[in-house]
Amino acid sequence: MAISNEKSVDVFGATLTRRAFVKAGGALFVGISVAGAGILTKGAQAATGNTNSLDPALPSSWIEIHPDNTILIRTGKSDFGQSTTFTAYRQIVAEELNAPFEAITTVVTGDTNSTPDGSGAFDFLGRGMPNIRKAAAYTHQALLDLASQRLGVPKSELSVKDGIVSGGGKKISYGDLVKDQQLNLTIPVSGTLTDIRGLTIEGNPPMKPVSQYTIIGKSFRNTITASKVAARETWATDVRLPGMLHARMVHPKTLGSTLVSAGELDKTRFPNAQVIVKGNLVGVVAPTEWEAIRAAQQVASATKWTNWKGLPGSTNLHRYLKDSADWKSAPVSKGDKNRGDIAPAMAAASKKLAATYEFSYMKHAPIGPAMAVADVRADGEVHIYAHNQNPQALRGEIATMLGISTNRVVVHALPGPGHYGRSNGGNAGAEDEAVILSQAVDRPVRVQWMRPDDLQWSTQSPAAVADVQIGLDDNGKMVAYQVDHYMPAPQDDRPIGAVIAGLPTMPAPEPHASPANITASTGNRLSDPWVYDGVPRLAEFGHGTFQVGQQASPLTVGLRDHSMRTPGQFQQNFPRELAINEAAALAGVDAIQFRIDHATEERLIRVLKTVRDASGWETRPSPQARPVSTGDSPVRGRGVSAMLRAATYWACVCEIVVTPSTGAIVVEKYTIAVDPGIVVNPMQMKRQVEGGAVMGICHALLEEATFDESGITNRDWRTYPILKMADIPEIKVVLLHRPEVGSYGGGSEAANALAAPAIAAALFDATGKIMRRLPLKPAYVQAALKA
Amino acid sequence: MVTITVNGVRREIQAPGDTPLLYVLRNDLELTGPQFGCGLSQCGACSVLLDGKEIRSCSTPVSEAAGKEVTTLEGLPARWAKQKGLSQAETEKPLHPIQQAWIAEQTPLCGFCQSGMMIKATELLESNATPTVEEIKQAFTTSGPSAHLCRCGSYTAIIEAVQRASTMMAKAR
Repeated sequence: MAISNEKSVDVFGATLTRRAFVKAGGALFVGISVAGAGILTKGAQAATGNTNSLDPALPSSWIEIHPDNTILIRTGKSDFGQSTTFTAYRQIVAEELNAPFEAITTVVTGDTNSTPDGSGAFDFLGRGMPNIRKAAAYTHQALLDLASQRLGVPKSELSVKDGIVSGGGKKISYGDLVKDQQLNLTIPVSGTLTDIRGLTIEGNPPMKPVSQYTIIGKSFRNTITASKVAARETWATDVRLPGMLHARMVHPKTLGSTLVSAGELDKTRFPNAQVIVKGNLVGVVAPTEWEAIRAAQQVASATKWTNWKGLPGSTNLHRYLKDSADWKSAPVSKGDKNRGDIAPAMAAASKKLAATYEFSYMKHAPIGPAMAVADVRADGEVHIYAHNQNPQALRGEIATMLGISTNRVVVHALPGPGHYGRSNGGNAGAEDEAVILSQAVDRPVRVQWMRPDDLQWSTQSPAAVADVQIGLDDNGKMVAYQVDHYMPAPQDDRPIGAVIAGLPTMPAPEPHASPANITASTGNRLSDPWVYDGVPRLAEFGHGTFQVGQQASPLTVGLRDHSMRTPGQFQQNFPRELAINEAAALAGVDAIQFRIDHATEERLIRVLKTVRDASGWETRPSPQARPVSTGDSPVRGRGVSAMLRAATYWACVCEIVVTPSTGAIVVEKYTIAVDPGIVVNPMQMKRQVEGGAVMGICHALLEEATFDESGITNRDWRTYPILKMADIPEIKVVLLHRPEVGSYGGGSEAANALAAPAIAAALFDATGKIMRRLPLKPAYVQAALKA
Repeated sequence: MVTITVNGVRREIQAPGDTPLLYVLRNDLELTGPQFGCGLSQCGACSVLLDGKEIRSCSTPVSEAAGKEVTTLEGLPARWAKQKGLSQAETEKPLHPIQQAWIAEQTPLCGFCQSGMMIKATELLESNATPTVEEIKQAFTTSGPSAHLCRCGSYTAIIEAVQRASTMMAKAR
């Protein structure tokens, strides 16, 4: 097959063309298909027509092969500390191409005008992995076609090692194959660039068998680590544009306050500052950061707001959710494994558990508060410099806010603090406000939220309540399991500055959006896959409602929720796993053995046995023989939990010490077993799991977003404390590398959700008393032990 | 006007004396290692050394640093070189052993707190060359204005990096 300007080559549904011979350089660019318009959705077509979007002829492709044998990869997924784009994605591309890991010298992430696929920094190895893997697989096939032509050897007789194609006694490098040519490989995609899921590569190019992997499975270092540690990285916080002003926001007094009058600026003290008002949004800009801070404080003290009281207050939260929230408006979700007739089985059960579990609001609480730099240029083009999990979605939100086309908005993604899901639907906070202020002053503006802004005006992980019923037969086997999960709308992606300013946004969560559309629905999806398939009767239901305060607030904001690490599944797994521990105790059976007795999936059984062996677990029922719930002496207990998330099986054992007289809990040892299928990079995965473990203990013991009738009352790290180094347990991580399974499970989350039910079970094991509400703060534990 | 020495270089500061040192470092001197985390001395992301002692630059007025020596993350390699009496040519090359250990242990997750963590580690290892795990935990939890907070949960990796740095620094002695 000749490859020429006139003729293109079909590569398993992708199209390889040579645009032109070039005098020097050359490359193979792998971009999205514009030819296969039938496959493209409207959104993708629109995107390809945009000036700052993808044209396969522009260097905005997934993969580029350069004549010097170096390779560049691009991904819309930004790094938030998972390292995946710099380690696993490189390994996956190198593996599919049979090229050295080190050949991939450049990784471009996030920027909306130089990355191809959109979507968010989540689920890197689930939905994200097939994209980059397929792009590499198409590229590999195209390179083989080129080599076949150049060497005059049939494709089937070629082999590749370290980026050198061999066959028929001849060889040629990838670099030489593309030298002096401009080659374009256009691959078919579907989806919408600015949608939360971004674009998905279609088709089925042949892929390397997992059994032949040599690069995946090795512990390569994260290349961005060195530049961060050496202070050579440009963080989003470091961006300084010519003429840029610093800004601080004066946010409303409550979540429902409207502006009466903005405070007058004291020009004698702050001669260079300026107050900007847009709707109910008040901002203060100044040439220096310190003047902006002090001027904003002065303006805030003189700004008048209406009062608003429309929240139940966190001390009444769970009673409000049970008794007052409207659970009728949203359609009820039903578990896809629901089966059997529950009621008669419950009635006939010899032992029965019926209990309610309560889960508090939590903050993502990035270690750096939200910030962004925006530059609304004279020609109307908007540039945003920010740390963002979903720059393409942010781009769409800003375009909506300004009523302009998405092709007028460019988001530059730069490193920053972990967001843990907060910005996976676009904004994290501050981006929209920077745009509004920049537009008002005709200069670039940097908005930096202070710590109270970040705790009080960001989204939070939603609270939840669950009612569980379990019926056991005479043999101590679960014969029926029913759960009703109650949780307010889990994701509100409206940019808060736009809402406060009264500018256009996507709608607030409402009942009749499809529950699958998490960014719009008040529905409560079932997110915790059922794993105890030995239970014959199962009934899982999800009940959703509006966000608390959403309908009462004149600003329509209320307690805005947003997905946070293991979203929804954490809220659903905590009641399930704690209830399973309780059921095991009712049956008088060891909690790990009880799980194994009800499991049929070999991966779950193996991960449970692994954590049992690795933790030195003593097989016996809970509570311990002589539980102690009073006194000053520390009491020890242990608990277990398990989860299936993103094709990964997890199990953890927590060993704790509780002092009954104070209610203080210390986790002494944390053992976790993880089976993701293929472990792409053991060292990076271990670090991710350790981090998730620490965050999970923190969630279980400390974290609660508190609120009064008007808004969030956490203001700083004293009122929203997180775990300190002295509080961490000995952590043992066991990774089960099981390539035969074939899945590339995720490792950045789930660990954060496992600790809570295991710690609550350990508390029961130690004291004989069950506590079903998170967090397990000393005052709550102390009171519950006395009761 | 305030004169301070930053990473071995005398700098004359135009900003008002009550400006927190952090904003002077980041905005005026373009030393962006220290990060803004809370502005309240509660997290340690902004930590720098002031005459060898860890302080929180977010709430230390620049006037308090007058005549004193400030070391930021950017200044750690030169600080180490000076302590070891390395020549100019040698000082340009290596990172501080603490930075090398942070890379070898792949300690940072998002990394936003890690400048402050490495500053804390420097203060610790300069006063206690071979700390125990318990001493490391206490140094990062109770010895400063507040505990050093990491939201990603990298504490285990930090302990391992401090231990590795301790070994590397001992070998270099």
